[in-house]
Amino acid sequence: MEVILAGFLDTFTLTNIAFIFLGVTMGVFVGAVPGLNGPMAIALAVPMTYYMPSLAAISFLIGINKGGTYGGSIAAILLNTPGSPEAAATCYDGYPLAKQGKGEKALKMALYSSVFGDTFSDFVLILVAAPIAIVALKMGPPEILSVIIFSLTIIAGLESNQLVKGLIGAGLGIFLSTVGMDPNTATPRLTFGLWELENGISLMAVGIGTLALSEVLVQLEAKGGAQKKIFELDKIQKKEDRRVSLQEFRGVLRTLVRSSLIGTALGALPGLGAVIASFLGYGAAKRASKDPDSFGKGNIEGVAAAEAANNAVIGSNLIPLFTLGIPGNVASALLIGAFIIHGIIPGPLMFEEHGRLVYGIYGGMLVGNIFNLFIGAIGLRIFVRVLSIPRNIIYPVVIFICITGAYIADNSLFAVGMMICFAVLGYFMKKLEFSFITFIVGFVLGPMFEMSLQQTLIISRNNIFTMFQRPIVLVFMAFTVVFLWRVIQRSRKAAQKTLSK
Amino acid sequence: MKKADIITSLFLLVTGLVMIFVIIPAQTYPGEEYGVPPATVPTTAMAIVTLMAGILLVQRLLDQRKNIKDTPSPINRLQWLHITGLTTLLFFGLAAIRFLHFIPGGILILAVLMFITGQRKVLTIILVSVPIPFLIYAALWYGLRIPLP
Repeated sequence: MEVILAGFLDTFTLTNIAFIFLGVTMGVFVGAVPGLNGPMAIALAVPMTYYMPSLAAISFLIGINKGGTYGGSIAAILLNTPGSPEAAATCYDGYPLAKQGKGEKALKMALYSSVFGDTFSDFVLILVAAPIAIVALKMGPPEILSVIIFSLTIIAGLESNQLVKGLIGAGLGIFLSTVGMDPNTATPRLTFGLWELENGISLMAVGIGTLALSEVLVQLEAKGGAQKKIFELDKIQKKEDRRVSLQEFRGVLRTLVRSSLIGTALGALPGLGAVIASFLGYGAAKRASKDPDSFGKGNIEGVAAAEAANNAVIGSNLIPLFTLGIPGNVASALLIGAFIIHGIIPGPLMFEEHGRLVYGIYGGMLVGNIFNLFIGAIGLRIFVRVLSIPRNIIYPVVIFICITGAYIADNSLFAVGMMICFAVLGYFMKKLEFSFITFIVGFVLGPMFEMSLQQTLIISRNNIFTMFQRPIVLVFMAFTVVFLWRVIQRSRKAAQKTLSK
Repeated sequence: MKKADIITSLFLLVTGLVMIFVIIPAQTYPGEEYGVPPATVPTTAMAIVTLMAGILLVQRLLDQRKNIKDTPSPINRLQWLHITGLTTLLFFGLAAIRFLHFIPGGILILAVLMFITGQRKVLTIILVSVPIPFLIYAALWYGLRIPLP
């Protein structure tokens, strides 16, 4: 108990508080800029932490991750451009809300939901880290494969009555993710002799192109669109459109808890990150809603569901890292580097050897959430003001930021060219009502899908059916079949309705 | 939209078949020694795309037989011109950054984009297009040590 208290008290030194504040601020800024994200900033900041005290260093990096995850929602809501990949699901309802002049309300809901989900998972990390890690350890490649298949089906099915188009998007995404080196034989695959493709297609080129630049291309073709403002500020002036009332917050409380549970559970499983969590949280909220048709058209619950789920991954992703030494995602993997710089080996022994530090980090995480709320609330107005600028100023600037973002993510102009190609693809996908969201999710999950398929086949000696002997696989596959059946039934009913009209 | 869907699904169907039978076998190492061969996942993904494109084509052809009213084409001639023009311009912008480097190329891209999107005030164009590439360059190079062209 003494160690716990001493650890929590360590958090409240001026140096630690200052570094947590700096980390969260940097994270929000970096997350809000399309093309930059939390892990990128963590990677750049790790060498700087060499000169910091251990607790300040780790709290600073976790602060960047917290701020970065929330920051991604700002661009997602205001520009339909997820600042970070995990904010892609926030675009679904966030951007339509911004278009309706409720950008500030959506941003506030994203902020409160982010802090709620994050705090929830931090408490789970603090209270039940070890037991959850034991369960997570039992997840092998077949279980991960079944979760990926389940996630892709759910996401494709989210495109109501368009399952076929959703699956085409997912298939294309997985196909393009296989460009580059084959992970098993280490030979170039589908590279057409271009060495630039040997590392695969840059995720940022795909994300920025299909989500951001394609949207700008669509917006610019509207008659007189370039002269207008993104939305008029007077529309935002209505008080009810600027704030989230207590009643509205109460209305989404169930969704917040559900999404936080989903995010926390998925975050505790190594490899399954915030992207899947946000889409699953969103899908679960849509299915549970009394008005599922309003999702994707500006339902505030959609923003809450996606943001609570993706932020709930932050804390629980540290469960396998702290208890087993296994990084749950890129950010955790980078944190290992920082731990090692300070002479700490993450894993079960850390609680025994550096117990005070671990509880200090827990304290830092909770303080980070308070700062996230504070910085987010102050920054909101500034970000909303950006929208009062005419389109013929903001869109050229956004296009330029997209070009810069695609360049810095891969350090090559080839990636910028790819980003432009994906923007054109995204434009046609939007026009022809193909799901670009399933396309991106397929692209992100593709390598993970291939790796778990490889491992499943190797351990089962090329007999994939042995995976169905595992109970967790059976549960997820059963969920997938039931979900598919329901989507097909729904499509049939919709087709019959159209026919009778 | 029905017509657009038919054309798109036909395009995807043909592309999918060409990919499965010509491009994927030619562009992958036929290693089958251990684990999954390199062609398995791309072929499976393309098979899903081709199969779904086939289903979409059949669905839309059936819709046509049932005389379900079609919606207007989602892309008209003007929009084709718009997307072609903007894409060409973006590739020219890329060349500008490649040959003039980040700051002068950035200024040029911003100024041209602002002009073609309807901004006619020279002062506004200068006030936006000149400082932004400088600011981004300074923030990324001096702040985060990220090299730019």
